[in-house]
Amino acid sequence: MPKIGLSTGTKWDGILQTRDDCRFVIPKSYKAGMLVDALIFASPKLIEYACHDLSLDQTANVAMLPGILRHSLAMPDVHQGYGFPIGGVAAMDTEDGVVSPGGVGFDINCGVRLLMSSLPVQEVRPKLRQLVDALFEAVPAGTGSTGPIKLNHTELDSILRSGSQWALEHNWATEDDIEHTEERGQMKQPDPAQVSERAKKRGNSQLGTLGSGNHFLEIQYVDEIFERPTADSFGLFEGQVCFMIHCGSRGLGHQVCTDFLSTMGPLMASYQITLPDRELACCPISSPEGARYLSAMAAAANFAFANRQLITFWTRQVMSRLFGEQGRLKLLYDVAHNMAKMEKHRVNGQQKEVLVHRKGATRAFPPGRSELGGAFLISGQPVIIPGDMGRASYVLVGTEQAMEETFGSVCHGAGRLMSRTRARKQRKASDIMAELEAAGIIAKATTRDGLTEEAPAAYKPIDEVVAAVYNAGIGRRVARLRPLGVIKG
Amino acid sequence: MAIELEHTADLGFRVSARSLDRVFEDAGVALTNLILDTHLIMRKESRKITLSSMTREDLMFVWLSELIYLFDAEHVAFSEFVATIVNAGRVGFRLEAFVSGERIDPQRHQIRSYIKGITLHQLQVAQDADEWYAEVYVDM
Repeated sequence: MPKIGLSTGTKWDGILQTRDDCRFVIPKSYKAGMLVDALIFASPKLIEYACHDLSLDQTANVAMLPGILRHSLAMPDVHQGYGFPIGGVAAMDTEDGVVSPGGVGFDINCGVRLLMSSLPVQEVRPKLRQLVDALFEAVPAGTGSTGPIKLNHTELDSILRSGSQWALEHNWATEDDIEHTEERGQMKQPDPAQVSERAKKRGNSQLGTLGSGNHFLEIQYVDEIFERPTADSFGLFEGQVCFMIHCGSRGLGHQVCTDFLSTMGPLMASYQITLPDRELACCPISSPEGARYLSAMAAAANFAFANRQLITFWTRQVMSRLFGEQGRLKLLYDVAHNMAKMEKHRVNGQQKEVLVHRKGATRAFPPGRSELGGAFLISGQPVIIPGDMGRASYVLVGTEQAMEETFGSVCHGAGRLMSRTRARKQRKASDIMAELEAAGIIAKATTRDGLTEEAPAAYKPIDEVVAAVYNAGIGRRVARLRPLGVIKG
Repeated sequence: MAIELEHTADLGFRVSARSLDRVFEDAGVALTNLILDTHLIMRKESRKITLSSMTREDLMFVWLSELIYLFDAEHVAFSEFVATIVNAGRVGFRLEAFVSGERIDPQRHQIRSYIKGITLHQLQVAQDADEWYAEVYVDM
C-alpha cells in the first residue's frame, strides 16, 4: 500500500499519510497515548481544509479513548469541534471501552428527516412565498422559541420513554412514519429518571420547535437522480418537492450533556483515564455513570425524535391547507447524526456488540441489516445529508464497504469551512437574502445572524464532500436536492 | 470588554480584568451579549446565585451554564453581575453572585444567537502578570 506524504504547508506535512485519493492516516506514533491510527476519509482538497483547524488533532485525541476499536475515524465533512471533531466516529469495545458525552455532543440526536410530496416543483413555485410564510408561522423557530404543546411531568416522561411512539399515540405520527425512522423513533432503554429536573425544565416548553444555529426547515426539489432503481424504491423522482427538517433535542439534550460533562470529568482519575482534552470526559461503558449517561442520552434522543415528528405534523398541516390532498407528505427516513449506539459489527473477524459514537456522522447501513425494516432491508438505508441553504443536499444509501471501514457511517453534512465570526463579518443578511432570491430561493430567519453565520460560503462544497464519500465506497449517491425555501431559527 | 475568539463551528470569548471577581462578572456579560444586547435588559428583578467547584475553570463552567439554564428554562436574562469568588482551600472555590435583569420580552429583546452549552474545550481561568483572564468556548 503506497504511503505518500502531503504538501499542505502545515505541520501535518510529513505526519499525515496518503493511503489513496480518499483515505488519509495519522499513525498512532504521532502522539503518545494514541491506541489506534486515525483514518480520515476526504479528498485532496478536503484534507487540506482539515489541516487548517484542530480537526486532525482532535481525531488523534479520540484515538486515545480506552477501548477504541480499529481506528479513530473522520468523515469528509470533518471540522473542528470540542473534544471530538465534528464528523468523528469512534466505536468502543463494550467490555473495556468508554462512553463520552462529548462524542455525542450537546445536541443529542440532532438529526435530519426528508418528507416527500407527490408535487412537481412547477406546481409549488407559484405558491412558494405563501408556503414559506405559512411554515414560518406554523413551526416555532429561533432562540427561546416555545412550542404550542405544554407538557406536564408525566407527559414529558412519556415522551422520554417513547419518542415517536408517543406522537403516534396522539395522532401526530403515522405507523409509516415510525417504520421510516431510525430505531423506529424510540431508543432502547431510556430512563427518564436519569434526566435531571433542570434538563426537563429546559425542554418542557420546547417540544415541536426548530431552535436556531444550523437548524432549519427547507423546501427542496429533486434536481438529479444518480441511481434510478434505488430512487424508485425510495419514492424519489426528478422535480419532486420535498421537505427537509434538521433539529435535535433542544435545551433538554443540551442540559443532559452539560450535566454529564460535569459528572464524568472529575471521575476520570478514579478510573485511571487520562486524556489531553477535558471535553473528552468519559467513563467506562460498564460503570454506573456510563450506564446512567446512556439511559439519559436515550431519553433525550427520544425527545428529539418526537420533536422532529411534531414539526412534521405542522408541516403536513400547512401543506394540506395550501395544496389539499395533493399536499400529502410521506416520510422517506429520519436519521440521527449525534448519537452513541450499541450495534453489532464484525471486528477482527468476529461479530460483536460495540458502542458506536457518531458526532456529526450518520449511520449508513447496507441492505440486509436487521435494524432496517420493509423495503430498506432490500435497498439499504436512506441517508439524508443536508448541504447548505444555497447549493444542495443529498440522499445517499448505505454500503457494505461502510460496514467494513466506518462501522456503517458517513458524513452528516457539508461541514463548516468558515468561523461564525468571519461569516458574520463577510456578508450582510440582506445581501445573502438577495443572492438567494436571485437563485429562486426564499429564505426567512428569526435573526440576521441566523442567515449570515449560515451563509452558503461558510460551508464546504457539498458536492465535493459527497463525492469523497462515494469515491471511498462508503455511501452511494441516490439523489441531489436543491433548495427552494428556507426557514431558519 | 470581551474579545471574540474564532472557532470553525462555534464561538469563544476572552475577558480580562484586575480581579478574579471581575472576570466572572465580565464573562457573565460576554455570554449574555452573545444571546442578546445587555443594554436592552432592564434590572427589574435580582437573584442570588451560589455555586461551588473544585477548580476556577469548573466554577466558570457551572457559572455560565447556570446563566444558560436560567435563560432557557426561566426565560430570564441579566445585565448586572456582582460576583465574589472565595478560594475555600481543599474544598475548592465558591461563587456568590447577585444578578439583576428581567424576563425576556420578544418585543424588546432581539435575540442574536442561541447557546446550547458551555464547553470545556480550552477553557481557561488564569492570571497573567497583573491581570486575571478567562477564555471560554460555547456550543451554538
